[in-house]
Amino acid sequence: MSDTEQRLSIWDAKNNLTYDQPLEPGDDKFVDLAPARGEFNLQRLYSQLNVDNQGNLHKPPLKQYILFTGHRGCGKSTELLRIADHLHDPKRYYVVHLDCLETLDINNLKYSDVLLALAAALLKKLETQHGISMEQVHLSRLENWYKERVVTHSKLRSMEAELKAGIKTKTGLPWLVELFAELTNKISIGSTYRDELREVVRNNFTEFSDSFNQLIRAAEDKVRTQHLGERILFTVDGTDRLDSEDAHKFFIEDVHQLTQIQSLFIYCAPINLLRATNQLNASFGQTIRVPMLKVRDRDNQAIEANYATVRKLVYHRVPDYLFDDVDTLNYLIQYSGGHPRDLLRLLNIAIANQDNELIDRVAAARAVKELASDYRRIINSEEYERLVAIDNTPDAPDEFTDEISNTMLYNLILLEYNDYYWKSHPVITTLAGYKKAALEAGV
Amino acid sequence: MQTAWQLNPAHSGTFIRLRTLLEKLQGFHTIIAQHNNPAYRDGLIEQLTAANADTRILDLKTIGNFNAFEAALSQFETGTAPLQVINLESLDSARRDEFFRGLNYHREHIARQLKTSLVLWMVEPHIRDMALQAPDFWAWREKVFEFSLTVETQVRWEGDWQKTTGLDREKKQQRIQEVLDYLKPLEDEEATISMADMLHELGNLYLHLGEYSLAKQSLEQAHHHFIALDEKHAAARVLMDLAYLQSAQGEPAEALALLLDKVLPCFKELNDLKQQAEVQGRIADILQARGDLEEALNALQNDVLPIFEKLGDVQAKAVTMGKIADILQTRGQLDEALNIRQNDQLPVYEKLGDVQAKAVTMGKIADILQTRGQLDEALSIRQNEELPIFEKLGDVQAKAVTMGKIADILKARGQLDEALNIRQNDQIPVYEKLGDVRAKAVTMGKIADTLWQQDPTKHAETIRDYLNEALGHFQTMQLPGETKWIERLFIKTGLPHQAPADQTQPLTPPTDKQSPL
Repeated sequence: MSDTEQRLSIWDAKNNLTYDQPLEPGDDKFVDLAPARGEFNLQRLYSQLNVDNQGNLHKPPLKQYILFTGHRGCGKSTELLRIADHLHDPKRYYVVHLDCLETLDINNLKYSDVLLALAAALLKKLETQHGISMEQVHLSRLENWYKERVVTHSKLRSMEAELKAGIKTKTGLPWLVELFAELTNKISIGSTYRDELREVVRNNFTEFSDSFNQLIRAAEDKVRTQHLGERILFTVDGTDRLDSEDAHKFFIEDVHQLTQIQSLFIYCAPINLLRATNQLNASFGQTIRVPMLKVRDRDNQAIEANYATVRKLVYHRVPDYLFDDVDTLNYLIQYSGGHPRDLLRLLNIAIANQDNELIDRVAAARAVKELASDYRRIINSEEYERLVAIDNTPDAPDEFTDEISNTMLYNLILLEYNDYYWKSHPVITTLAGYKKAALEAGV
Repeated sequence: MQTAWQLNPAHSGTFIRLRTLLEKLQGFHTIIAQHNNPAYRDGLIEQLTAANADTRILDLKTIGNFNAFEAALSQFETGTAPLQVINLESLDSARRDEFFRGLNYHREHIARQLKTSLVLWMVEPHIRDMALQAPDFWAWREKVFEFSLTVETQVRWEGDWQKTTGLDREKKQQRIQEVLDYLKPLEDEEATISMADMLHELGNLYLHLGEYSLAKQSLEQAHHHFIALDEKHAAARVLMDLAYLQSAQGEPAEALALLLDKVLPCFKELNDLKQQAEVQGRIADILQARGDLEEALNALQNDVLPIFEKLGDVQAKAVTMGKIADILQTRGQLDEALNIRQNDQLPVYEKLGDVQAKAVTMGKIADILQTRGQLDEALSIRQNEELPIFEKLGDVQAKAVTMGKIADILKARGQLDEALNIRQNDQIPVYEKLGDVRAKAVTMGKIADTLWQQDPTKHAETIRDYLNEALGHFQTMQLPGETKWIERLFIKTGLPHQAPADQTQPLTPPTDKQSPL
């Protein structure tokens, strides 16, 4: 830091520790964490899309449905934005990103909502960002689907009147852009038309999917011609928020409809969905898991190189002079278990607990204790025994692979590391219940 | 506090942290506040929002469900005041589940809508439900603040050591051993409330026995534990005792700094008016002791009295008026002091039936009469108004102090034998038994002075022995004022002494009674 540069106060630094926004590529706070995630890198995902190590796209697949998952708060959204940024390239893909949390109401989310929103996002991006015009021939089928299936629906006629008033005199692509934006909006705000719109999509899905597919093909021609990308790739965030029931409906029961759209998709999915591996494998080409930051190995030994990366992540938000000692930060990293959001949380709690405008060991220890207390709320007493057993047999998580462990992974009680082992969240090992179970197990 | 509501001392650190956090946070943040008592919760909210007119509270009991909650959010004008949400427990389980689902799915929408802190007041089982049913919303929590009251004691009162510190020396030693036996096996254990309380008590016991270095050690440990436990209120009370120790050991500037910089701000943050007044009173005591009478008077009149008037605490107000009278008395404004004693103190104590306070006040009136040379009237008060009360109350220390004052009168009247008799038989044994080393040393100095007055040559050796012993005690206790007084007595009596005193110091004997802690 130069002399003229103003030192950040601890409360200013705290404002860098928010949870509500994934980092956009290019953000000052961004640090590439992939090297600290163990053997994990994104090349496996890129390979699925025929992008090689040098970033060259070889013949892209016709269609591909990739699931992108990981623990809650592990950095999925940030990584997904980074993937989109890397792949969005004239020589690679034309990426259309949809954040369902921003655009849709994911309470009771249906595939129809997402597909309408994807169509809206594609149309809008083509028109507003690149001024692409589409010949009417490519739009007619989608327009007809709307006119023949939506407008004629008895309960949707008044909606049509509302839309006409809003869209007025536009035609062609601009009209479709606004139409799909409005349709998405009607679904998103839970209007009286939502159920009927969903019903129309469901009952006439083949027509809709064919029309959408034709639009995608035509749009791909346009983006290729204008050197914006070789193919269109959709990235969908927010669908990992679905609870287990909704996620099952969306990714398993309705997967046939999702895969009728012939394009390339990366969907975020909740980690506990992966227990239905067989059903998922049948439809999704690949599942990419974003693992924890690997700050410890299977024997619980610290991995210094990865600590260094994580410290870098922290120092981009909270400068080193706001810690009494680097050991205090290392202590917080250790107890985060390599879970990025819990690391931010520990820092947040430590700042709330400090008394001297400095994160010292006392404040850090209190933060660990409080986070442990938070986890204690959701652990059932009999689960301590299993946690101790898993910690003592990290090489063989298979015997514990069941619904209970899945729930524990979902609730972050268990953390999953790349190549491939599970460990209890470190703060849990400080709890009396865990210590008692360890004692009883003779550990 | 101004109402019946009172912050549980165990929550003092948590309360300050929550208030600070709410002041510092920018934008949307979720804070969970755990409670188990709606009345206590309401008091906390009142205290948290006292300084902010733009208080916003959403009562789910009235609102009824998540949709109405979201609709209510959209009605709020953008502001910086945090939104307090209460009574989630009033929703039936179906609506509560729906509420959690809504929070989980609409997390981003709520954040965009609110743009400020959301404080959810919840009972413990529902926090667990939220963590499991709304895991994504839960994942955005800033921190869980714990304000639950224990079932058996709704409020944890901090230790009042008056009962143990009033014990005689032997019982104090017994109690010290008992506390040490309790603490020894816990040396390597994590701090608990009991350990911190015990260390605080131990510090006070040592303090009253004049074992100042042990007192300091115990009090510092107690403070360390209270800080670790986030018991800010209790920690500040320990600092008050440490400030007293510093003041007694001749470090008034350090004591004042501690009270002004650490203790007073803490009680102000907690809005604990009574403790604020007590600290201001201590500050006035120190100012008075170091001769800053004007400042001390100012502190009592402008900082302490208004608080007790506001609280309607007539007894504490009378005690403060007594301190004001003390200063006036020291400045020689005897009529004004007498007026306060007779009109502002005595009637209050009589009305309250506080015979002890009345006896102390009568003693102060006797002090004035004694200063004026009205020795007979003063003696009459000592013998008829003070002594019988202290005897009746079994307050051996107060009786010994009063006997000392009677001895002062007798000495002034030239009745040196009677004066010596009192000091040797009614004072020294009592102070020895109580373990009050300082009072014993003061009495020894006075005996030496009386013996010198009686026959300096005859008693030379005894005088030297008394003065040396007293000096040793004062030096061990690091009491510079008292040490200088003995050094001056060495000079007065012409006895040899290694370190001659600053002769500019007055030869006024210290009182043999310390300020009460």
